[in-house]
Amino acid sequence: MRKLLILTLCLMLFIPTVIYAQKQQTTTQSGKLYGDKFIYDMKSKLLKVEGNVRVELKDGPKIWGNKLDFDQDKQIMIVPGVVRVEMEKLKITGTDMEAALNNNRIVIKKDVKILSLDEKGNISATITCSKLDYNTNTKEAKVEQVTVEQEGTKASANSGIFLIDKEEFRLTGNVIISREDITLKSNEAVLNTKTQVLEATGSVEAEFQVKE
Amino acid sequence: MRYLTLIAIILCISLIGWWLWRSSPEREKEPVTGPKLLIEGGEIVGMYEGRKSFILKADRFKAETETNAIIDGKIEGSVFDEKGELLVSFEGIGGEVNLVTSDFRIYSKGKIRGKDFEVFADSLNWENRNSIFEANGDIEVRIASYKVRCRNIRADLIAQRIELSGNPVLEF
Repeated sequence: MRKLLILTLCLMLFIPTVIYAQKQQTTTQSGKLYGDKFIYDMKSKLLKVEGNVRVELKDGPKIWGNKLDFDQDKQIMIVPGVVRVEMEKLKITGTDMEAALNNNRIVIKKDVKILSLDEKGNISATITCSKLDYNTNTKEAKVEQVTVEQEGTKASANSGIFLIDKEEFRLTGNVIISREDITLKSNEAVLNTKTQVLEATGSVEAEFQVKE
Repeated sequence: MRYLTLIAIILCISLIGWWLWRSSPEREKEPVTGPKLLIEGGEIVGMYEGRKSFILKADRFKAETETNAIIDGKIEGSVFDEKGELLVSFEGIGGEVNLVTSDFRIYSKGKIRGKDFEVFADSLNWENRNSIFEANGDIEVRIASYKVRCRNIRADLIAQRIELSGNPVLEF
């Protein structure tokens, strides 16, 4: 009987601890939202922002657009049309953005162009891709159908992960790298946008064009 | 068959007549029961189309003209919807009520609280007929758990829509 009582007491202490710990883990992104006009629908709890929209995420990127829809219940910001995102050493443009504040994600759905800047602010690499999925917490950007151009080197792949802190681009799937007369084909490649070192791994095929 | 055709023609004519009557500009100008005010003790009861539209409680009436009631001191009150349910509650210091339209204005420290929102503004204008309030100046709006600062606000409580302009900034 005493054991059962102790077990019940332990459970009573353990369950709230687990619930509290889970609550602590879910962090929501904070920041400020600017615009020319805000229209709030009390029924749907949807906030529409019109004209000169700017979002400043705390310790994160700044986002510009023409319109924004903010769903308070789902904690989702949607920017239809052309969107511009700036963060340390990166300038991103694209079409149709969705930012989920609950899970720290920014997704640009179409026509993404990323300019990687060096310390002086000059363009060190130009990246184009069909879709970008950026995690503001881990500072990792997943991209699809990607092309990287840097100082005469062009690399394309089915997908990639851009580790922004490390300034490193990991390309996977049907990777094709071409520089002057050499073309490398591999499954994986790593490009450091800072040191400009490109490393192809996996089964690498090389094609040379010999000038006569 | 002949009777059926006749009935169909009569129905058509009636339908066209009804449609013309509905879209006629005269109908737009049909008189509506205007707002009325009942002043009892320290309370002003705003009426609209036979129903209680708002209650305004004030410390005292400073002056009264044919069209305006000037209110001095603390004001507080409530606005009700068509069903008589509470739409918003408000408070402030100093104000005036238009005795013809039942519109009222709060001069300072205005505050309006509704479901899921709260507005703090220096002065507030309440348009009784359309259940609309407007404010200008330094405004703080709390929507759900968010805070917005702006210069202008217009809230249509029937359409359930709040418009904010004048460099609005939302903190999330």
